[in-house]
Amino acid sequence: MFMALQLYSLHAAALLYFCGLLSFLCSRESTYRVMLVSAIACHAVYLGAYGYFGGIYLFLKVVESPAFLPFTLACLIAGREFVNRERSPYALGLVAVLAFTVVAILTPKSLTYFGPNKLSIWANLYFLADFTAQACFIMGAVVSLLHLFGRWREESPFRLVAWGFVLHTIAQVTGAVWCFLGWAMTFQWVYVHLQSAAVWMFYANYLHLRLIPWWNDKRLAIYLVAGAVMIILFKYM
Amino acid sequence: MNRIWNFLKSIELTFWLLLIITIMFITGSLYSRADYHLLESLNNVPLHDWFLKTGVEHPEKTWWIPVLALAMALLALNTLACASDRLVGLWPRRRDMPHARFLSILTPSLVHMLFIIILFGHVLTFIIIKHERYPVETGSTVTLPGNTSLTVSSIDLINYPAGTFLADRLMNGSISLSDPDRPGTKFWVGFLEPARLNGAYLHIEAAKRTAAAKGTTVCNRGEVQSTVNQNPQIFLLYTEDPGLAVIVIFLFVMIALLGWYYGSSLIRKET
Repeated sequence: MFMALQLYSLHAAALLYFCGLLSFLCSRESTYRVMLVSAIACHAVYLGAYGYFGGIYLFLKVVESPAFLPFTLACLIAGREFVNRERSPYALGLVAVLAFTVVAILTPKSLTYFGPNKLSIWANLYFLADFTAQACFIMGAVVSLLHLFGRWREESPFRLVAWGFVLHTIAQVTGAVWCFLGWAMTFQWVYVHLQSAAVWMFYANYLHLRLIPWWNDKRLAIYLVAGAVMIILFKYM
Repeated sequence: MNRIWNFLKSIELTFWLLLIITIMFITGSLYSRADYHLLESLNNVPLHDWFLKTGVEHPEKTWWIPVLALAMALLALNTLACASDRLVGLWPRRRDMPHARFLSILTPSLVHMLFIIILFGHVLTFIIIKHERYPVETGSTVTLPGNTSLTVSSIDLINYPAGTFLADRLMNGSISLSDPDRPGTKFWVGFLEPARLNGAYLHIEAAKRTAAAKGTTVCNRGEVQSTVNQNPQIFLLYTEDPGLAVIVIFLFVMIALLGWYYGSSLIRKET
């Protein structure tokens, strides 16, 4: 019963995201907002239950879950929609939310053993910051894609990506503290750490590109889309 | 001289260096996926020692490390030149604007200076780190660098609760150590709770007792069981890392400055 509730809450969230997207495309703004909030609520139920692991509750399973990235993305969209009620391109980010939610539905539940080194508040903070940063970067790419197609040119992804960079830096710090407490080093020569460093350098570079004249809006948009592709490849390959 | 300075402080150089560094990190991650244990053996050993012993034997998989080091060194120079040039230009204007505004404009240069300090911390770690790993049992004595001997008084392991999926799996644990030369001196080291000893850190980790292939990591994802018949092997780790404090403290300061900078610019935009 509990497992079924958990599983179907994510299916329900996916359906509501889809309906929300359709409502937005049909210019039914209030329906879109209701659908979005309902979808996030279903998604939160799924994630909350995901931490329950055969008799114990591990919050790390929630933030490490494949469904956490689409959740942060959806929260980012909702946050933008309720702070600024004008029609914005963020709603189209629901396409990415839907895609990642479907991947999460298709991914078998992890039965990974959580050893003593993983049971740290720093690990939770790391995943929270890292996924939220990824959500900002991916949303930045969505806004950039719209730029490339000549839509919503007034919406700049810069601020979003800058906050993503701050969050990614927080992930680097919390990750370094966690790594030191658990493994006696702040940086390991393993692909996860190398990829994380690559992402940090890539977006640090983006923050500087505005100062170079030949990096026009179109090139900046392509750069951000390339960044999102890199993150997705690192995550799923 | 002027041409060299202008080249060093150029933002275009920053772009190319950051791009090269990004590509080198991606390259490294691909090699790490292809041969995990080769690069993993670089953890906790001085970089130059490892490169001269192991790295040169596998140039096809390690060529990117000197390129990365060179690009990082150039980036540090470039950042120093950029930030100091900007600071020199800004300083005379400090009285022409409100204090908060001046601090806000100054923040990016401070963040860049912090970045250089953090890079320096990593250089210290990669060059001077000293790390040892000792398997321990109750009653055993280990001799640490500096000839300090420690005896393991007890090993206390805690499993996940019985009746759960993870029953018989290790959840937490600690070891108690005493110094035979200084009776009454005791150390307690837990998972995620290192102890300090003469400026070094003592950690513990657990691994299966079954013989693993050379270079196999003690991974937290390993099914480390802890039952009456199958106790995990506990290791005591000794680490001297002079770069640690520099890296962690200045990263925290960097976050505070970045948050303040983007937060205050958000408020400015809204007002």
